[in-house]
Amino acid sequence: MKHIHIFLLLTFCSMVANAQKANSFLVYSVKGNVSIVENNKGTKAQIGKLLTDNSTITVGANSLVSIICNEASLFSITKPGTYSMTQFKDSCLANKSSITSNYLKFIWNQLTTPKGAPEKNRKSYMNNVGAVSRTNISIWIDSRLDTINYYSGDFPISWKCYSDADEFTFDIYEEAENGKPVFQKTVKKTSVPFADFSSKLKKNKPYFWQVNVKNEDPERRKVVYIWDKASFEKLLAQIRSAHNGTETAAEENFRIGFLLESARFYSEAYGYYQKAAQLNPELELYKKTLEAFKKDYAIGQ
Amino acid sequence: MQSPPKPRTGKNRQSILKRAYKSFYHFYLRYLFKRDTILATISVFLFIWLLSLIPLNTGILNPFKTALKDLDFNDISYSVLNKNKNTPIDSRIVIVNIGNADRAGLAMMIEQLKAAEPKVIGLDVTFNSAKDPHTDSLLASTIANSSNLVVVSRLDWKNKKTPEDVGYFGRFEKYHGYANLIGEDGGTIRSFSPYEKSDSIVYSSFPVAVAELADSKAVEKLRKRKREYEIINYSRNTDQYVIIEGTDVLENNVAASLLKDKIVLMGYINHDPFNIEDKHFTPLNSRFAGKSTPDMNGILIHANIISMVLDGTYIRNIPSGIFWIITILIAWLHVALFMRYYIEEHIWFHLVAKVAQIFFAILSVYIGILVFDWFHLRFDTKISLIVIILAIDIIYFYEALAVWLHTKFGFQTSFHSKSH
Repeated sequence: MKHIHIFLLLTFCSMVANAQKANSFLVYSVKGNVSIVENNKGTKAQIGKLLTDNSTITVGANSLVSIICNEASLFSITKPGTYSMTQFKDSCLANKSSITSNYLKFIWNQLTTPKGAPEKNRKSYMNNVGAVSRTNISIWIDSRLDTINYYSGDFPISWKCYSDADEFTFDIYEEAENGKPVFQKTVKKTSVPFADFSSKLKKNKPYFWQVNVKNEDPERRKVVYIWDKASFEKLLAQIRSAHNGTETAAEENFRIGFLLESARFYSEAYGYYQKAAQLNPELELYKKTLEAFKKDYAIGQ
Repeated sequence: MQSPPKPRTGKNRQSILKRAYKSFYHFYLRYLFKRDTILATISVFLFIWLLSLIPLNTGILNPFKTALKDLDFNDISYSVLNKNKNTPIDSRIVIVNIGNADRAGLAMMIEQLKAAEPKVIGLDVTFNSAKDPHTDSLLASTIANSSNLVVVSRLDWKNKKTPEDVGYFGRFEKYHGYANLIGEDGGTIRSFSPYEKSDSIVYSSFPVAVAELADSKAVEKLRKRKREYEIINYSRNTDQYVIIEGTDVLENNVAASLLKDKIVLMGYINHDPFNIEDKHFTPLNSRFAGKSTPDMNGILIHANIISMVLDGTYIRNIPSGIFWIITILIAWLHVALFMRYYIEEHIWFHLVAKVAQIFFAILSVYIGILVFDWFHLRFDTKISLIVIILAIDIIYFYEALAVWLHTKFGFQTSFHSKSH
């Protein structure tokens, strides 16, 4: 019994010791303006410098630093800002899977790969594009989304990606440059619905959104502005009364939708375009406009 | 005194033939119609069918399948036998190597080319986003003012509603076609899809869109074939197309007569084997199996497709009914031979089986290549080779089954428990 107790104690101690093991970070490459703060002393980052969990690193604009953690995993920081090394604990997790588990994973992946030849299932095998690209930006954001006004409704902020990136970070800031994000979400899709963050933002205050993809400089931040009820209804009343002549309900909805879209109230405009198309389904213009709107802003995708 | 040998009469010759047939029948032919041969042959195909029913992809457990995955023996006719060596240069097509030209450079090249009045210009470049307002406006204006310019687009089937991505200049383009080719990622490109349909919208591929403007009658033929995909007839490699440098176009070093009424394809070509930008594996690769580097730029693949469409030299697949009849016939002939040695001269069985497999592999590939070369008909000899390889193991299994059935139910079989 005594032996068992000693064994359990030793196991526990070893687990605690392992859990508390500090990470060591090695600066592997530096580009641009990168500095390190250790024991309240700031120095320029140099290749080969060892950092601990207590170190802080500052990455300037258009700069890059690559770091190797615990001689195992390499990661890079390209986003300007100041970071504590403890933030990068996740990047230190090395793949400790055994050969057996890796082999079993491989076999399972192979067994569950769909059967079939390229010609029999061509849509799955049409990823080879026989063309050269003359673009070096993988994220593309429609210029109409450089300012978005929002009051209510279901509308996604979307972008297009032309690289193999499968994960994006969507940030909202209070500042046009620098600062910490007030909202951050990592997504696999190329859109984030307003419902995810609108309640977290203050009304009548400009915020700035940005989409980041790994190892790439993001585009300049875009503006998002949440309107309060009174201000929006005042604007809507102005739009409604802007037309003096007679018009059908469908025409009125279409006109309001068009003017709201011009005023960058995309979520609200969508609702009015939908109403116009419902009220007069015969008119091709309403139908086509609604289809184009949905396609342009990736609604329902 | 010996009498002189009697001259051979027709009757004698007949009896020799009869005897030869008899001994051949006794040696081999009688095994063709044995119940065991027929049942063992059926077992081979039954086994293949049962394998196909397993919902899991068992390819990894099958070394033959894994090794032969991206192999087509017809590739040998291109890569080893120089099938297209004597194909003349296609004078209808001129390829302009855009090199590293940027958007402004491309706009100027298009303007220069337009002045030479080609039939159609195909621009094999994608533009995914805005770059620089000045050069973007320049290229947008050039694209909008070019009535015979086809620009590539890209199909993305993840986007099911509107799969075609026409890129940043899409709204200025009069014609576009997708540049997607059919093949595994990093695999050999052997086929392409001429048209794709989604939500009643028909999308044309880039080479088809270019050929349509050059020769609509030829494309009509293609349309009438109604094939979901076409096997690419790689008739020419880099040396069999007229390739001019974009810089020469810009410096006005190219005679307008070379381009007048021609199909001009603008794309990226790099002869450096270590530069693999827009390079793909094709059957023309000098290494038809195993690891190597991609060998052909996308624009040359499109040029080969256009040549094929203009000439109407399509490659046909052998009808599946005929294919399976031939495969079953080959399996039957082999199983009969294997059975004969298995039952009568087992000591030679494995040796004969291996020799037969090697002999058949060489012969079938040769026949396949001849058929491909003469009739533009593709016969996948890979399957019959797999069937013959499997046949030996199936005979062992069949023997055990037949003996068990014989003991249990008195099943009549040529096998007996001590056959070897």
